[in-house]
This record gives sequence, C-alpha cells and structure tokens, in this order.
Amino acid sequence: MALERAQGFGQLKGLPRKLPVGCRRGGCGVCRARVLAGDYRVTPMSRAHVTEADEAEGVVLACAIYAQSDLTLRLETPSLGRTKGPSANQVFG
Amino acid sequence: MAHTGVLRPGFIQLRVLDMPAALEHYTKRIGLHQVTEGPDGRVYLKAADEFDHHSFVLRRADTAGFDVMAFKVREESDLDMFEKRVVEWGYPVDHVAAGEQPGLGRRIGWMLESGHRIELYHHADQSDPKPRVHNPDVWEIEPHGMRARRFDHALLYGPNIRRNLDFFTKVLDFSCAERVDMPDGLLAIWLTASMKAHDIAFVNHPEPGKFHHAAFELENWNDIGHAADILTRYDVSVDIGPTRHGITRGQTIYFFDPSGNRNEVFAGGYSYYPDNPTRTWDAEQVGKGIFYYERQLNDAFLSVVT
Ligand code: FES
Ligand SMILES: [Fe+2]
Repeated sequence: MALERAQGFGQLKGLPRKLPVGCRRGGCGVCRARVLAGDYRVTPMSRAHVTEADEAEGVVLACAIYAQSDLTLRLETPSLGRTKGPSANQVFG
Repeated sequence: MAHTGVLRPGFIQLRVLDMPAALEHYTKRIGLHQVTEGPDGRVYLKAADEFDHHSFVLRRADTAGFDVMAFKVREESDLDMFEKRVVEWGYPVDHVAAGEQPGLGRRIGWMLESGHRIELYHHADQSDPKPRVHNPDVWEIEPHGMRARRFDHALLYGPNIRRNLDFFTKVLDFSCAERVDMPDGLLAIWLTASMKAHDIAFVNHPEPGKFHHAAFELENWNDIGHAADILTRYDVSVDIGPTRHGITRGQTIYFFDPSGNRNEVFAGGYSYYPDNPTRTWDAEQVGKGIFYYERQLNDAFLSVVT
C-alpha cells in the first residue's frame, strides 16, 4: 500500500513525523524523500521531481512507492517558502 | 453581436504520466468522451454538451502539468487583429498550422511572463457527441460519471501576474472580476472574457509555468454531491470539498487526476457583466474568499501544483 494511504488509514504507527501530503499521485513533488534502507516498488513519478539519477540513488516520491519491507526514509521536502502563510512575494528555493 | 473577440476557453492541454489511467479518470469518472487519438499519441476529449471538436487534450510525458490553454475567438479576422496587438505589447507570436490538433484551424500562440503558453484560434469542426439543435432534448446520450458539461476554466501559478492582469485586460479585452491583494502586493486575479465569473485565473508563485487546476462545469450543487460520491467510490485523491468559493461563489470540489494534476468540478457562480466593478479581497479575508465554508486556506492551496 502506498505510504501516504497507509498513513491515512492509520496503519503506519509511531512515525517520527507525518509524511507530507499533496496530490498523492506522483505529480507535485511535495512528498520527495530518500530511502535509506528497505525494499519498495514504484509507480510513475514525475521526472520534474525525481530524475532517473535520483531514482537510482533511492530518491522517491513517498506517495508513489509501495513498501515491500520496513523502510527508513529521510524527507527531502522542497522548500517553497510558503510555510508562513500566503504572501505575494514568496521566496523560492 | 454583443460578445466579440475572445469567446471562451477552447481547450487545455495537460501532461500525464500514465495515459490509460488518465483516460479512465477523464472519461469514466469525470464523464468526458474520447473524440480521437492523434498520430503522436495525444488524446482529444470533450463533454457531450459541447459542440466543438474537443476541449481537453492529454499528452503522455515524464512530468505532469500544463502545456497550453487556448481560447476561441469569434471571427477568423480576430486572429490577425490580436496578433498585431500581442506583438505591439511586446510578446513574440508564433503560428500553429491548421490540423496540428485534429479538427482545429490555425492557431496563434505566445508565452506569458508567468511562463504559460496561451493560444487563440477561430475554426473548430464539430464532433459527436454534441447537443442536437432542432427540437433538442436536454441530452442526446445519458450523462455519465460526474456529468461534466464543459471544460470551464483553469487556475495557473507563476510570477509577474501583475503583468498578466495588464496583458489580459488591455490586449485581449478581458475583465478582472475579482482580485486578492496582500500587504506586499497582488496575490491572485480572476479574469473573464464572458459572463462567467472567470475563464482563467492566476496566483502569484515563484516558479513559472505551474498548473493549479482545470475545472469542469456541473449542472448544480446536487451534481457536486454526486461527484463526491464517485470520488469516494473510486478512491480518487481529494484535496478539499465539497465546499464553496467566496470568490466567484462557485460550488466546488478539488481533487487530483492519476498523474497529480488537480481537477475541479464547479457549479454556479455569479454572472459577470463587463461594466461590473472588480470585487476585491484582502489578507484577513482571503481564507473565506477561497474556501467559504472552511474560512481558511488549506496547506495545499498555495503549495501543491504540477
Ligand atoms: S504528494 Fe504529490 S507527488 Fe507525492
Ligand atoms: Fe476553479
């Protein structure tokens, strides 16, 4: 089951932090993460957020992977400077 | 002839990661019909209540997001008139030959400073299914899925939307129906070429060329509820809703296609006349403007785009 769905169903207990959730379909990139350990299967992920080189290194969109074992993930959430609420002059990068 | 120049959104072309999954979503869930598939693999879709050849184009790609949105103009000669005005404004205009998309005549196109490609065209063949025009029934074939009646509008994210506001109002003769102003500047604009509250909208965003949503019009609030039933039944990824926008007053659900492109189903909204003043929103009330019942933005509204 994709991680974001498992989380939504309360099947991922004791996560150190919540997984970020955006489109849940591999398009928007907000759930970008690096798999440090474990096996998983991937469904299509936008190359705008995970290049082939990234994918070879274990970078994934968490919403697009299905865990096949216990996984250790490090979030690599893109920083869009939007955490402080709406502003007309967002800092990007 | 009161309505001249730009008539309405004609089509939008989006990139999808998985074409069979996208087609299942847009035809079975949203309720569009597949008109044809082009030699390059692009698929052309329409609502049964639309006359013209197609209004929604899907292109298989490695990234999701926005390729182009095109508007239909009233007369063939409008294309030459607008080309002159766009070039005078300072944007280089290119030409797309008739037939590049099946069923469409020649198009002109250019890039906005927000990083979005916009096109105009005049000629479109008609295609089936379409409404009957003599003694018409309310529909020719039973509406299915969410019963989408038309591709209605899009919301795009990018920089320099102040320039988009000037361009659309001064060059394409749109009106600004509503806007949101933050203490540090313009956040969002809703633009109309018609009596709809919006035909296209923009939110200020640092990254150019981003896509927030494409909206399909439904008949009423009851059909929004039916759409919500479908979203749950088929486990479609929902962003927010059913709810209502304060801005445009439309009743709405935001959800995602299988490639993460946001869709909206939209019903109602007020009628806009070109002499109406622009409605304005400020930082304190913007939450109510976007999501009227929640009275606050969700995290995804400003940050989740393709
Ligand atoms: S939530 Fe959008 S790519 Fe994972
Ligand atoms: Fe919308």
